Amino acid sequence: MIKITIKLFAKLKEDIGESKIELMLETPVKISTILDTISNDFGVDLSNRKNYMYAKNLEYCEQSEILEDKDELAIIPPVSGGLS
Amino acid sequence: MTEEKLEENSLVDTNFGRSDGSEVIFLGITRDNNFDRNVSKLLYESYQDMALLEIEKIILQIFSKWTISFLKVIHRIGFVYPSELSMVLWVKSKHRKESFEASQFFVDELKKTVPIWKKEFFDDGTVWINDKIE
Repeated sequence: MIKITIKLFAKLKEDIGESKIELMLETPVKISTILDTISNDFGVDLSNRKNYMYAKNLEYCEQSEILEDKDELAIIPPVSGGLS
Repeated sequence: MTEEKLEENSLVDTNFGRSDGSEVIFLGITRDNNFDRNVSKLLYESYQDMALLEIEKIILQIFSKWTISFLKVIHRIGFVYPSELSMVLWVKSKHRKESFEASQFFVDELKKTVPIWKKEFFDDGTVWINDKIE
């Protein structure tokens, strides 16, 4: 078994109601598969959030990236730091 | 990053190097209006570990593109109210061109890649800036 931690922020955190999700999985898995799991389990359609980005272990990555044991995935809504 | 209010009277840094001819201080000030609506407060949230790494990358880019002697930035997290400072950036260089350009670059790049999010609170609702479901 592998353990993956998913960090949620901003609007997505509010929509799902969690800031962190921990998943126990049989095998390593693509980020895209994790997104499908989250969509199904929490009733949030992530497929229409096309401007979201993803980070594995603090580095930006693509949805095709594989998550392995102890990896941390962050789902990153459009950032808005600084001032307008 | 800090949850503490940034005090205006502590901003000026007069510790100039002998070859510094310019110091640019950028103050990001929270406005009381946006989208023609009254803003009562902002909430800044961050993925702090990654935000600090991304800010470091921007700073490294700046030092590779311009001859800068000093750069410091503080960004608020938590609630920030109108007229309070959301961010302060200090850049020192020999000539003004470098510190002006580096400051602009930092502020522009921060808004693209650093995982910090801003939620605006209005009289009639709230919005997470830039987050629209397509």
